[in-house]
Amino acid sequence: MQLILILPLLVALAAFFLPKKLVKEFSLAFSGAFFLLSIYVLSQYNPLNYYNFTYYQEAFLLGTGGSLHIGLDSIGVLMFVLTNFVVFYANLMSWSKSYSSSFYGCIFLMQFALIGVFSSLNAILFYFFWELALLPIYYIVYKWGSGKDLNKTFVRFFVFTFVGSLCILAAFILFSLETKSGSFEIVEMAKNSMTGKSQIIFTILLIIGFGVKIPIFPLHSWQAATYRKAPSEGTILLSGIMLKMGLFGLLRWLVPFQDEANPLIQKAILILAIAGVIYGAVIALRRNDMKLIAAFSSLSHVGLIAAGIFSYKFLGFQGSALQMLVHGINIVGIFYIIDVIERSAGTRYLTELGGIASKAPVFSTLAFIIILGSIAVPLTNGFPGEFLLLMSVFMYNPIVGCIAGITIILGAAYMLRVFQRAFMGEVSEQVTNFKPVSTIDLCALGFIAILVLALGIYPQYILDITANGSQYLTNLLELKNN
Amino acid sequence: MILAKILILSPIIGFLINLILGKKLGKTSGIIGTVAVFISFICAILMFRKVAAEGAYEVPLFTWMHISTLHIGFSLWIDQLSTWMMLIITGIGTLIHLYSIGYMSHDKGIGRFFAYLNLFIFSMLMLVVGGNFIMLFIGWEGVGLCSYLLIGFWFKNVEYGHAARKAFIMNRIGDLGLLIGIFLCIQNFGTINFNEINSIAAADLALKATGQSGLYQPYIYTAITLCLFIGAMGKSAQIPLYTWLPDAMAGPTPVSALIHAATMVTAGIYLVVRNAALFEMAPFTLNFILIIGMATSILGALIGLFQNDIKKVLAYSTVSQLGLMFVALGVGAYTSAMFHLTTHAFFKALLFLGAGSVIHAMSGEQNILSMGGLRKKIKLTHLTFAIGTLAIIGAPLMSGFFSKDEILEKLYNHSPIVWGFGLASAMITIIYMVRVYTLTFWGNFRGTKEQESHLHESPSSMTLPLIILAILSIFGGIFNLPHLIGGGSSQKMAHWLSQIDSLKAIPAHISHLSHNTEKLLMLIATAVVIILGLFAFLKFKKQPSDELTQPRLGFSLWGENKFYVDELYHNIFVKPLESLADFCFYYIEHYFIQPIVFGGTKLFYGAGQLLRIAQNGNIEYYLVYISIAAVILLTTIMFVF
Repeated sequence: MQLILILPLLVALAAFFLPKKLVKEFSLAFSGAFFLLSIYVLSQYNPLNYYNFTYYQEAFLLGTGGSLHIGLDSIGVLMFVLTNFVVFYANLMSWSKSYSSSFYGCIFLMQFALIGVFSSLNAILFYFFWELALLPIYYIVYKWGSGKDLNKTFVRFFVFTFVGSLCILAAFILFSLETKSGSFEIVEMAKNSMTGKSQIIFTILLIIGFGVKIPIFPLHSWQAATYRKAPSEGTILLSGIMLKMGLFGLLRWLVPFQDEANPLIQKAILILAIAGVIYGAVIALRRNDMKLIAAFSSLSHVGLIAAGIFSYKFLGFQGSALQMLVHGINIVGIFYIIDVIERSAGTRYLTELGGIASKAPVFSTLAFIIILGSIAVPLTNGFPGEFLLLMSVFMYNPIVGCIAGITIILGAAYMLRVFQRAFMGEVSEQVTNFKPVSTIDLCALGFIAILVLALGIYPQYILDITANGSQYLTNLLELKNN
Repeated sequence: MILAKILILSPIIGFLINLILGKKLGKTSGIIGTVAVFISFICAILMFRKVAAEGAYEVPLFTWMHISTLHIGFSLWIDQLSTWMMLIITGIGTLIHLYSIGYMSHDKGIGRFFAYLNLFIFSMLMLVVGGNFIMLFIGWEGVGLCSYLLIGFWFKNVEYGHAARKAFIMNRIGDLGLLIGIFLCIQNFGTINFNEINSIAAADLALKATGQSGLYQPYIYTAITLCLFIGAMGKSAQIPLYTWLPDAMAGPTPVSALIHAATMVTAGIYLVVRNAALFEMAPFTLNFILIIGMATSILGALIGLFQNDIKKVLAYSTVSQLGLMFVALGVGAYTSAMFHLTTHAFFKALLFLGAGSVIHAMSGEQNILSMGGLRKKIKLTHLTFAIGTLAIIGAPLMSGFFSKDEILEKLYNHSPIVWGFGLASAMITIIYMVRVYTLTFWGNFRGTKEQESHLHESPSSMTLPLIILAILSIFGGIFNLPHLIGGGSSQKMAHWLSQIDSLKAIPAHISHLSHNTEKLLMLIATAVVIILGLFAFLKFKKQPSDELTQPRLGFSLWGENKFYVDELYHNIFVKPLESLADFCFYYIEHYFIQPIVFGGTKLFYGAGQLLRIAQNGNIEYYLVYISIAAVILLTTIMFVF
């Protein structure tokens, strides 16, 4: 079973050396196979036995002897599936373009690193994979990005995420020094506890480290510019799965170590996250570049997930686990739509678009369903998670909850504006020659649309998987803080 | 059990067929859509009979969400109230579907149209049969979504799209209130099932009646009910969230009849009645509802007085009538509000469909100033529209007479001042409805020659629903006759509805009015209708056409411009928000967010310049090296240790 981790690495190596002619088919086939494999793993996953890291001895996938451990807990397994999903979609998206072999190599290398991030049970191993996951995306953004000031954007992105990584490393080293435990194994680490000042510094370092990746307001300045200039494949990797690294990091490496959950830090981060929710949504109201709107909507949605985590409640953990998956699916859908529009109409600016619904009705219907998911209309997948998260924040503090709730109004406002400007109205000049949307793209979007509805009608399937893990975290916090 | 499933599934199947095959089916899609709703109607009748025989029952389908102690089931609750609403939704729904076959026959998007209509019926049914707040919320947002789709049905028109978006966003403001109300229920009661919440409130009501303090603090009830009412304000177009409804007239006319008159906009009334026991525990909220309802009722009627678009007049009339229903709720007359909801559904649907028939005949013209004298050209439409007008103004023995009279009587019982306001609203209603009717059907034709030559009566698929609705508008009052007239068979509907959980808990309001006062009130209402109605009819009939088109001044000008509320909202909400968006993007992002990193960037960039000398490479190779290193590292870890 260790193969699940190793295979993407082997495929990455092969992709680097394959001739350009073959690499596209090769990559699509393998990423599709990996995705199917991950679905199989999910279906075999027994949430009763492997819901958290303390069970690593029987870890589901990758147990090793010695001192480095790898295993998927219940949230990890969802992220594992999401990783394979996003990588598969990145490959689908690149089908009609021509990239060199190293592009595909990078994607698979990233897949390898991401799976590592989501399954590491050792802090140093986690850090190693975390860094490794960043390298390919740096390269993808730098080599295939476009737009002016790419260099500047790239440097900003690099510095930001790199400083974030260093914070994480510093936090782990601090932990080891303070607790004098020689091991970086999470199970060993969990046995020790930090107190006082060092606990606070540890928490803040990790919040900065993960917060950059998420990003939590106001650490987001790299995000919009990078999303905008990266190639669409890079954007969906960044938004679909890489920002989940930060959220996942919070759940696995921060929350269990909150021996004395500092209420002030908790409150401050929660308020910053909610500020980001509203801030992102407000900015998205008036932008014309669809990628920018998606970027700021992402800031808004992810802020709510972070707020849900920091409410330290069962509801929040459940909601964040569900919403991490759902946001990954939906944001991939949204960027996919933008990519299709850009390929077919030659622009992604709302001022130049209009009337796509008249030209491509099926595409428009699928796009509308995905947009509904993003607005979190009930019976789409966005709703259950948002409901849980808002409720959790509301239970933490009713006023903060009400303010966070404004996002459901603003979210509808900016997303419907996009739909209106791009899809409705008279056919604009640019859209007149709208190229027909290929069957591959329609199938890809159709599958996302099905997921949007299926997870909205029956979210309990996912919630069942994560329930015990969330309960475990809740109990841990209650135990430690009583 | 199976009935409830068919009831819900039939419109969904219709929706799927029409959505997927709509283009190929053409006009057949109309028949499929209508049959789908008609099947639901049959189910609704059978369920009604079942409830009458066996009482209320629950149909659990599956677990939607399970959060520690909170169990949210996808379950349906079939009782007296939900069957009553079902009958209205599917009954009037069937008629309007039938009407739409004729109305939309020339439209290319007919398949899409019926798909949306069926989806709407499904959502509306979910709203009324849901056994808990989440099911209600699913329907609640679902109908809002369908309303959005149907208002913007002719999507090439940017204005229509704008109206649709406005409706959705204003509704979402209300939805946030409802959502917070749900959170409060979960936080305080630990449940969202209507049954359990009502029994909690009922227990507290009983304690309150004996003078003891309840299980829960009164402010909890006030907070919850206020939040729920904010939801109702959005959906039922009450001040300050009413401005979307008149704009919603951009949709095809059958949509206005079904969604924006008969069913969706009454969801707010349903929400309050469903949780009547909660509201009964919060006298403050009831007074608040009374004031908002009254203000909306009068404002809507006043604006309606000065509008010239036939559909806009009817839209403001709906706002006003919904206000009247909320007034009834505010004084605790829950069944009276439901009664008016029912008769209003009949005559307002009739009026809208009649207006649609007029617009159809006038080749799309909606301005009543360009109409006139249509009674000879489209006789059947005229007759039914006249019946609708008589019903809404409350002409004696028409359905609207009984329902409005019952509300006025309850208002008088509450306070004569409130009654006075209610009567004032009813009087304005008489004037604007007679105005619309007279200007449309009497006098001389004021349109173009071309329009005149095209004047024609609508096809029978459109006139049949008109006739049925006209009959219901006349006789709808028999559902709930007053004691004075009905004798033994009076107040049937009130008895039927008072069996539901939320109303059972409420001690019956004892009327302090003597029979003589009741008679006097009815007499006053009758006299007002006859005198004012005739006066208005004669005045508008004789009004010369040049006087009609004169520009308005003073108060009427304000009225014609809807008292500038839209402009006000635009200036105090929309514009500042847009400015804020730009301010955040151009200033905060640039001067506050970016400097956080640039300080660091420069440092690293400088260091990077130095290190760069040592490296020359092609990054691709570096990546390969890293991969190889990783393989070696991992293999070592796995197999050596």
